[in-house]
Amino acid sequence: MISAIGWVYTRLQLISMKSILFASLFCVARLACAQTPASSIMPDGSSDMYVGLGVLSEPSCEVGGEQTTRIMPNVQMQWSNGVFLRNTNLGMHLSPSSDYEVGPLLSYQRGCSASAARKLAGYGDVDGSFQLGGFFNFRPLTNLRVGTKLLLGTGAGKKTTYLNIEGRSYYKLASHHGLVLSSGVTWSRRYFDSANSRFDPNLADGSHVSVAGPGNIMTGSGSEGFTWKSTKPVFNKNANVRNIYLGLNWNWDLSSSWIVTSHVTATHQFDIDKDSLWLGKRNYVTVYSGLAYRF
Amino acid sequence: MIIKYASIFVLMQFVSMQAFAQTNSATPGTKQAAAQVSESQADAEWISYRNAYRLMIQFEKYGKSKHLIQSHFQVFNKATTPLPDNLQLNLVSKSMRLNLPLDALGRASFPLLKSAYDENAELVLNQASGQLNFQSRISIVARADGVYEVADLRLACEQALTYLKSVGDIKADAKSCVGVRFSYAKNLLQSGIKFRGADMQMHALALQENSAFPDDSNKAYKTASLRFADVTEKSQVLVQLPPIAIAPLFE
Repeated sequence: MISAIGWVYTRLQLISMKSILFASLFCVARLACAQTPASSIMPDGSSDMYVGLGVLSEPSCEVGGEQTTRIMPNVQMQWSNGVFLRNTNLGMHLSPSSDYEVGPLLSYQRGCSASAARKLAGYGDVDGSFQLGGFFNFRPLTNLRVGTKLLLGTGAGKKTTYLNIEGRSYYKLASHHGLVLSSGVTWSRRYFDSANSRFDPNLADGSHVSVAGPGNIMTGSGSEGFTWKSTKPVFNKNANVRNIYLGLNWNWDLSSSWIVTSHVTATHQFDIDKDSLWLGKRNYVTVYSGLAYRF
Repeated sequence: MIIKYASIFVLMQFVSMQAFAQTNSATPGTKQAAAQVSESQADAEWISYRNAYRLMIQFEKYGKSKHLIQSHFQVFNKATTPLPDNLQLNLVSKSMRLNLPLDALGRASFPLLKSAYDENAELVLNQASGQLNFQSRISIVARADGVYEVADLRLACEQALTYLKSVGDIKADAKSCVGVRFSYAKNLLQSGIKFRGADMQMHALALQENSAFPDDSNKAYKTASLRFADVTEKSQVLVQLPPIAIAPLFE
């Protein structure tokens, strides 16, 4: 047993520091394993937390990239004052009623490693970014909860927006087995963040040629420099996401402390135009399965 | 790649299962409790106190008028058979083991305890049965004097309906109040339940075998139903023996 734990530990260590940092901030909003309670449904001064670890398989970038499998932590926390943390969504319930939920939301949008998308080769990573906004959830039908999120932020010096509308219904399969069926649309406008790039997109416009910052020194290989010069639009890439998805979440309560949560989401991506940064992967599947401890 | 991670995952679950089994056997405080656990913990019916709390706190926090109705935590049988004898409901956590007395309908007053919440307690039945389940149950508060104004009963029914609609209960969906049902134990011969109309004439209300609540499948009770459409607001229901439950009727 001890050797097995040691083996697991060694495997975990193999994951690079960066990906651990990234993972701890990683946002998979649709992976919300635990039900999100409204603010006033726990005793004053109490908290309800799930911390878990599981295996996640998804494209290495939000759209496109190779399907990769990795270990992913799952953190869900809720405090009696209404503050909650769901992976990389930090928010607060302000609504006094259980009819609807409303409040501010701070969210981390993951970026994309340059190595994951061919179109990014040689240009540096797309950084993840924080976005600020709010959520509004309501229940139009007895077994239908509609959640909306609107987030705004700045990426690559441009405004980014994120809008998500999702419907969820809960079905009790058997005692301790619950199923959540969800479906939603995401509309997100983002841009290629050139902060880490060896090339300054402004140079491509010819407007800031005289400003040669440390990031602008052209030390790249000749062919890349040539590509940059000859195809100016490469720096006007967007990282937009417009998709529709269907998700299935299965929770199995082993005890009041242990829960096995599994999730499958099928996503269809719309209009990947020629300016889109991402690889044109129109349909992809995200799978998560893990164990969480409630304390 | 996938096989590697899948095996990590399986191992992780195995380790947790071991931890889970150990914490469970270490949970109860007394020897007697430990013996009970070893007998039936494996398939004894339980529910997380936090989940139950989330269900039951709704009535406490409910802001609209509710003085004529009450909320209970109810153990019910999915099959049509009655609840097993000697059924006991216990609230169990690291530091406590609290018995919650059940009435004839499997209802208990739900204790709202911060300590039980913080310790992530479990509500455990002493009998293993896959047929038992838990729910919140709204009923009309019985009066000590046994005299019920029909206007009050109608108001109580409305309160129950408004509450159930507000929590999104499917039983209340697109329904309205049509009456109330008084229920008694099956072996009762005479309830002495009477109805006094606006003309002050007394009528006995007929007893029939039915379920205590319209959505219950166990029809092993003597019940007397009153439909609002049949009576005037000024009439009264006079009850000699306290009923097990007074249920609102929606249609």
